[in-house]
Amino acid sequence: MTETAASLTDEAAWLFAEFRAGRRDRLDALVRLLTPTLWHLARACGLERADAEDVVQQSWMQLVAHADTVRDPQSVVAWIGTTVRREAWRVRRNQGRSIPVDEPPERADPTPDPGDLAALRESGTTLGRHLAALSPKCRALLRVVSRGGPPDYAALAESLGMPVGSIGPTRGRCLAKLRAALDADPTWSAP
Amino acid sequence: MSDTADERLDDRDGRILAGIAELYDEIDPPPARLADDVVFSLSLAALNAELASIERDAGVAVRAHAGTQTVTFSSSALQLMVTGSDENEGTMRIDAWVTGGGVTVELLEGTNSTPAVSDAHGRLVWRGVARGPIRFLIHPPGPDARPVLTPMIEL
Repeated sequence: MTETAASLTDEAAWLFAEFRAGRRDRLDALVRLLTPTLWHLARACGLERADAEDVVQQSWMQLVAHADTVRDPQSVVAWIGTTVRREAWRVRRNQGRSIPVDEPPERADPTPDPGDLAALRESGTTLGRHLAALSPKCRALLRVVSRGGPPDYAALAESLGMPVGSIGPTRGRCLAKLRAALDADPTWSAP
Repeated sequence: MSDTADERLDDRDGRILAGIAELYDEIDPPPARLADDVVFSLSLAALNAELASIERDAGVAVRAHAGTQTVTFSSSALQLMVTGSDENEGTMRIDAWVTGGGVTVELLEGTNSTPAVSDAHGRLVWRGVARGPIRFLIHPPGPDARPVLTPMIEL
């Protein structure tokens, strides 16, 4: 997985605009471009794998059904990302997972399942160990934001309901904390 | 350790983030067929197909443990009856009857489609069908006829 200079947000915006102008085939490309990111977002919102698949599917259906209501193609990543987060919230509420409020939270309220933590620790990597030590919110933010390059951080953070500026252009609290922990760890080979 | 949260992102941050993306793709990757499934579902939705219903009151309701199972689907304009029977290698043969001859019916397994055209008696057959969830997409003849999509079943 390499992050290139090409912006996810820009490419998605272009494909979405083309799709709305009648190029239906662009939708396939858009789906292939964004689906992995949406998967990681759904998982970062604490969904089981099967539920994450359903939510990603549902969110695409909603985007297509409401394509006309997306004001600016540039916001399509944030739009569908927000839809994934809201759907994830709904699924978890219906499952009776502990959610204290009746409305989708403005901010992310991720409580990743313990499998997430176990997998990070069992990855046998220094990075995994230090990620596991972060708060669930920071972990969710970094997991989702890492799917794009710097121009995408704001849109990806927004899809999580995280304040713009939680990462990029400055480092932000979560990444600063992780970086400090890595710097202090002699087993971390600085890339 | 001073708080570096307000510093601008540098290349090293970029590499840490790339490492995070890579790590999550390793420990919790998206299912390989997820994007294909989404593309396929969207293409079905775009057909604006009518959804057929399963007839539950038919005497030939699904028999759980029998070698042969029959399900009937109906829509406003047509009916499709399908029967699955065991073949040798753990696969199934599916016989179907649809209202009318010359009707194209697609057997959908995941994102695979196997079309067949009904004969003059409305008969169709598929051989060597793997066990698992399937559904049918029926294309009634006529330029203005809406396609009909059945619910998913497992025979």
